[in-house]
Amino acid sequence: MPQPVFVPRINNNDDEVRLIAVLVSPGEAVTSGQAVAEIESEKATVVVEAEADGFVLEASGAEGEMLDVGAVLMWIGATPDEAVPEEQPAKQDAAALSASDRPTAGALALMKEHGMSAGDIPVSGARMKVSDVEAFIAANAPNAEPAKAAVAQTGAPDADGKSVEFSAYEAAMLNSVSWHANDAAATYLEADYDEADWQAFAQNFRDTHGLLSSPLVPLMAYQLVRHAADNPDLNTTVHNGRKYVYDCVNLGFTVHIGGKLFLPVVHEADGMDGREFVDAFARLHRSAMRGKLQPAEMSGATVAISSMARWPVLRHMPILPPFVSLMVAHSAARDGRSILGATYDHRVLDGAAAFQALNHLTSPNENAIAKE
Amino acid sequence: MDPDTARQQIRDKIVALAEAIGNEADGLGDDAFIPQLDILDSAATMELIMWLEQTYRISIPDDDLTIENFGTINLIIGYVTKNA
Repeated sequence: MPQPVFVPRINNNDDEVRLIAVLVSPGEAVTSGQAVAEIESEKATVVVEAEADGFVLEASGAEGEMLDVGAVLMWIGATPDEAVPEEQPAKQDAAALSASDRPTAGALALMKEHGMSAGDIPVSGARMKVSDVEAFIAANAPNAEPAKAAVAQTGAPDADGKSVEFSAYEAAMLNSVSWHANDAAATYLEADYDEADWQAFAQNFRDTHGLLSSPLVPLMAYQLVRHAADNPDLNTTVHNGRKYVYDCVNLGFTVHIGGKLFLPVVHEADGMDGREFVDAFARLHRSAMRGKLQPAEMSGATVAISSMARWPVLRHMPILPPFVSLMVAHSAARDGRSILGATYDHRVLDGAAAFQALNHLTSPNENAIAKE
Repeated sequence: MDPDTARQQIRDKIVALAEAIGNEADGLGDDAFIPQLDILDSAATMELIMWLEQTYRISIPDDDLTIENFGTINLIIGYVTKNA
């Protein structure tokens, strides 16, 4: 029998929430815990998750529409062709919905103060408490600083419209792009190289370790990790007007899922050997594709890499994630040659250091990758 | 689950995933060793795994993601049949 997914209550004061995005389509298979929609109230944006494995039968509401808390948002069936019940179930009791899953008033106030959304913060108990928010802030410094106005805007739109909050995903993108544009002295350079050595090396690594696919990008990322560990300036940012040298190398990498771009982070990557890193990279990649990345798995990057080789893009200039000074861009080969690019923060890195990092990645360094 | 139907479904999915990233996979044999053909990159391989989970309603733990289980179409059929 099809199971309804109800519109959850986000906070006490809102009996309606706005549907920001439906993340799945009718007929699509979903798994329990998978994000199926984004909704928002005045205070927060949250992700609605499927409560059972199955197939999406029908979703209600158009993006931007206001929905009643407790109404049916979506039907999930055991098979894709199951019929949606003609009789709608009783609207889920709004009080019951609110009893256990809303953040406490203190947690809401703290989230608002720091410009956060409830969907960003892992919850330790039945309800989000102040301690959950404080733990998230402590674990994510300096990234979790209160959001600042992106730019001091002059003027205003001169056509009618309405002002709405960004979703959590949109806010994260805005934060990255604004930091890149307004804080970092973002600069770009590139190197031309023959990828044949990397391909052969990655295929050999795949066969030696019995992997299902060639881990070229993870291995290149790991070589970047080793280089950053040996050259701390690459693993540095600027904070409160001072140089901020990170203790560990945390490698962020881009994953494109469902039209959105995410940056999972392999934490403390410099403490791993090559195989451990490739496995950690794959686990995060798989978690991202399942829509199960936790906020902590997408924060704290200290260096980063982006690959658009599979599309195939021949070169691209990545946006620096906040408080990252070097992001490498891997692209597709053409006529045996490839372009490796780097966006870097010129406040802490000069062109020579950035190019040296790129040059270090143009061929595999077996000794660095074999590090135990 | 009919193994012959599943075999064709899996072959079609692999061919589609390969073609989506510009690789030719027509004529893929049941015992062809897929990793060494280099027709699926890591993202496409993960898409295949997730598709197998959803289509055959199985859960595939990370430790099972080995060439012994998913190296060929016949190995995949064997794994799916055993775990469905």
